[in-house]
Amino acid sequence: MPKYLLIYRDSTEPRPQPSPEEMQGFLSMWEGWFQQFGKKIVDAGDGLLPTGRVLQPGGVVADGPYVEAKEMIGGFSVVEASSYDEAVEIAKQCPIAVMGGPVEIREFAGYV
Amino acid sequence: MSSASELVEHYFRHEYGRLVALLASRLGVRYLELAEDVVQSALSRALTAWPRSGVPNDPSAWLYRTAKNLALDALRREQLAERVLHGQVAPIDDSTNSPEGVVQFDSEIGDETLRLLFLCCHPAIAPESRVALALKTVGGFSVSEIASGLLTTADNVERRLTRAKEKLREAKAEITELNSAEVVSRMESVLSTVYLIFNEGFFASSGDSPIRDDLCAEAIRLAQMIAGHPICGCPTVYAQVALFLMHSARLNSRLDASGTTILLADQDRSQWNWDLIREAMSWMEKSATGDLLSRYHIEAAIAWEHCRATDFAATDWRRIVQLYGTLLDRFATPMIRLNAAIASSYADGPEAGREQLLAIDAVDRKRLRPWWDCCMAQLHERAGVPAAALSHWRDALALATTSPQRQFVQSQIDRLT
Repeated sequence: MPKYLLIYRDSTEPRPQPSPEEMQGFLSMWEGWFQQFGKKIVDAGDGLLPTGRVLQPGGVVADGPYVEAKEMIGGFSVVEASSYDEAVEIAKQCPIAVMGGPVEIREFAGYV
Repeated sequence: MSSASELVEHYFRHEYGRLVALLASRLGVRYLELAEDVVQSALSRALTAWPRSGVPNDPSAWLYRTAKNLALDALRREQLAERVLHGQVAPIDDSTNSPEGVVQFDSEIGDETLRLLFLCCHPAIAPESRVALALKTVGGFSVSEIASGLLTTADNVERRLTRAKEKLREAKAEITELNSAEVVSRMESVLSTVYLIFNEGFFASSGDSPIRDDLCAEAIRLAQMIAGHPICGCPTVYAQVALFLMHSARLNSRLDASGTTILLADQDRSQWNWDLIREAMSWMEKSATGDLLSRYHIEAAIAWEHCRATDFAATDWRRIVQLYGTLLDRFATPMIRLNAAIASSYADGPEAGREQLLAIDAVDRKRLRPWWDCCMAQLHERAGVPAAALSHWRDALALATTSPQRQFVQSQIDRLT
């Protein structure tokens, strides 16, 4: 069964922090999503800290992620699906998408 | 491990206040903002971790540990910055890092929240800023939630919070053990802050109604917390709890399905929540000790008169007028004078009420708008002068600020034209 990487992107624009009440709502939404798709979610993934390093050609190390980017990757999950259509359906139900955030869906090449 | 659905309602919101209270009292009030930031970050971490690995058995301890470590990291960074800037080392208070800190957590926490509430009611802070600060730090409401609850803008709330925190810094305020002397000196300010929170939720019935209900619920939670505390509990706060519960019991019947205000005379009394009224009664009984008669005692007694009347006509207006008289002797606020005038109009006729309304001066009338105009309109109508009533309803329509108000006033104009 093909695997897909769901990449959650955050806007780097400043925006109001969610309230504790809203966060508790997101918590239930995530849990609901994991329960709904069960084994289809092969790796629940993790969040990514907003800090990073970018290794540039010539061995120059810069603070990252790319500061000029409008979005940065905030987290990821790995799901299993029979097709892109099914992967998109799973992604549509995830809290990031439900809350109107962009989710990039990429199929694993399966080389390994 | 358990599931997020087992967390009690408003768990994050209430946990936010408890954790901010605990950290700010350990780190010092100058780190209040840091405490808020790290608690927000800890909740945010839980958001990623808990759905994936399950909610920990003791979620409060998990959040506390996470927030505390984030705070210590931030303090170490600050210390490093200090050292670079001034070439000196500021001592870090690492006592919070002891494992005992976590063990004591549960027994300590109830008190911490109240201590933070007392800090928010510091005399150096302006009363309207106390409300915002208490909602933000103790209540765990976001700035935008507070803005919609208090019918103001997020910028205004931000300004109040900034000013309040400046005042705390200037006053070098600290969160201290609650002792009898401090409780006595600040209790009045604490109770009026809680009262303002309730009133904001209860009276200005517009905006986002779930938030407004939440303000009422928050005020009740805080009042009950104070009432249950061994040092803070006193007849005055018992009376306040009774008052809030009696008002809450009647919340649902105040608006019709379309969100229009329903007058007390037309409310369906079978919808009143009698469980809450009974609970209120037991608080009222508890409050009937000591020799201090607070405004909450009198207001609760008035609310009880409304609750116990089987229908509007059965209301004991004579008794209510008496109670308003007692209240006015102590707290002659414009709103109480307005309510007293209405009570008089039912006890002694519309003319008596109108005289009292006209006795309210121009400045206070302005503060009462559009309510003053609505009351004048009704009294004219009951006195049989519909033309005068209509003109007051039209004034009221121009002054109405919320949509339930406008809908209500418009319906009265439609009825008369």
